[in-house]
Amino acid sequence: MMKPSRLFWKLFLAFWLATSLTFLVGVGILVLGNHGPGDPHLEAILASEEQLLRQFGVESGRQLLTVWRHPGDETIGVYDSAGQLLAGSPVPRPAFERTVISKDGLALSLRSSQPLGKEGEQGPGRSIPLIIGTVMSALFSGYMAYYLAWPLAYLRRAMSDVAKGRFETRVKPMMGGRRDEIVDLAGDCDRMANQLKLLVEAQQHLLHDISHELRSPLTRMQAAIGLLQQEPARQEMVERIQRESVRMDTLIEALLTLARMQGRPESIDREPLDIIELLTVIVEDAQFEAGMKGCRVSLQACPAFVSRVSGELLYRCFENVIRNAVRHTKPMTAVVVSAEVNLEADCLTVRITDQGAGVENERLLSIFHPFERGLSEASAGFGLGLAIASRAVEMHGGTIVARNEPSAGLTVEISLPRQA
Amino acid sequence: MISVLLVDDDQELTGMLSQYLEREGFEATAVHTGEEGEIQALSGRYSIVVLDVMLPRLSGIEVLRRIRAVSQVPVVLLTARGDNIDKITGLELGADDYVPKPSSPGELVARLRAIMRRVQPADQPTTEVIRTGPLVLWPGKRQAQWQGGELGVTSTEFSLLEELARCAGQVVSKQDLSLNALGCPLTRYDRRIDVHISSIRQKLGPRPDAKAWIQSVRGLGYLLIAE
Repeated sequence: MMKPSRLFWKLFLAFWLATSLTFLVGVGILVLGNHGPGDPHLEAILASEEQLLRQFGVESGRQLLTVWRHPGDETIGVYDSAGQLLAGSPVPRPAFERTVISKDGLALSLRSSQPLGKEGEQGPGRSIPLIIGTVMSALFSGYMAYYLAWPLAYLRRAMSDVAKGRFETRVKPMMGGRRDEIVDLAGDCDRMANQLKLLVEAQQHLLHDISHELRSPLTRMQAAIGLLQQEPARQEMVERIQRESVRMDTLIEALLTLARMQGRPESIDREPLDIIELLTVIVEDAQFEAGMKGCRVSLQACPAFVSRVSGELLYRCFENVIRNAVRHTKPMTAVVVSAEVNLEADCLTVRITDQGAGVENERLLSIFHPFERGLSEASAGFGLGLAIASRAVEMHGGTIVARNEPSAGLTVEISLPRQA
Repeated sequence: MISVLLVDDDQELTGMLSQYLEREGFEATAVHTGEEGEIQALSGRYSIVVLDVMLPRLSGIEVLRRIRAVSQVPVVLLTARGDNIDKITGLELGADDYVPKPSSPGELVARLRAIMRRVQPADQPTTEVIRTGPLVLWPGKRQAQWQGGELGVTSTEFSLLEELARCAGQVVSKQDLSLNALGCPLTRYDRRIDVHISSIRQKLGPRPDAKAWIQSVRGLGYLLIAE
């Protein structure tokens, strides 16, 4: 149980005031419609009877009551102290009773079946409905206020947990079987917490991977330095150290590129560009690298496809995918880059197919995550190339998918919508 | 010749480390997966195993767990600098020491030598026996007996136990334990001694009066209760 909140008390008081007022006004109207409390006629008779008993005695009182033609539900009786009826009619359940000392010194009891309307002498019977009404309205108001206020208290606590970094907080299960907007809000709160958790974990994972990737070349440099210290003549170790430092630099540059692409798609600078021309340039560059392992890169292109894009990002995207394909294709094979325009959807589809070993089916999605690399490629690349490509395509509102070819090899398919 | 098994997925690194170790008088063999590492480490051909924690698929920690299930071969972990969880878990699982990555290969060789000195004491008379209470130690054979039964301890644990047993009933400072048993001075925030001691405590079990056999004396060190 939580401590009742301020909201609870506000709602409670508002409901209570509203229901109490409605109730009291209702009762008031009812009472006024009943021509007021008590019957003035009855009052006069009782007052006269009392005077008669005091000044003239029981006999006179009896005469008055005999002549009084009372309505059926109104009776007045005079009893002695033993409870014996002396005058008038019997009053089985007196609503009014007064003790009168008669002229002859007897203590008499004057009883009436109907109450006197005035002077708060109605007895407790009159206020009971009022008390019940007020209590009931308090209970109802309390329930309503609690019903609305407690889920908010839970939500608030959950939010403050999330703000403190406890992302595993879940508030929806605490809502029980309710179904309303508050529960929907709780569900949204849980989803947000989960999303934040995933983001923070991804961030930590990335940091961990980055430090590992930066340390590997550092460790190799340390080993090379150790070997140099053992044998200062080993000049190849100096080249090795240089190579490792270039690797670290490449990695840091790739990381910065990735970081720059974290922004919104609107944030990139676009200019009209022929993507086919861009592909031709990249394929020519890749040709050189491919030639070293006896491979070719062939381009099957369509006529120009001009779109407003960021040339730098798309260059890195295609370069990474094509170089990746060249790295994984078997020696003496060809990497095929094909581009076609889908006129209906007005988008360009580029397929890059290599003749390598492909990837396991369950990793077809994860190869686009940073530092996700195949099991065979121990130290080739940094596992950032496809992540950069994927991010660049996303920034252009396109899609990138990978699939294994039946004849072995991997195809990466990139679709880019035309931006006018 | 001391034969070292290197288990690390970075082939360029193991290549250079092998060259370095060979010039330092070790015989080095490198494997690049956890599975291979486990098989080779249990082959009995190596005097010491250098195990990288960050291995793909089968992690170094898991390989260590599997090795320790059947063998007490000395293991040095290569851990990422600043990753305390790996360090502590590794030591708790019975690693003899760890070397952070990146470190110079000289550092690794120093740690390897320190461990090998403990495992193969050069001028120890093989007949020496240390007895205290239910504990019997043969430093020459590096064998330990506890309450009449064989006590399975790693070489580092044996060295610590030996230091404590030689001074049974007296407090041995952590600095002395580190120097004599681990072969290197105690550094700040160094939890190695504490982790190893806690592992030995578990193996010894509690005394009849429910106290531990090895008592920690705050700010001073550790003490093995003498009977």
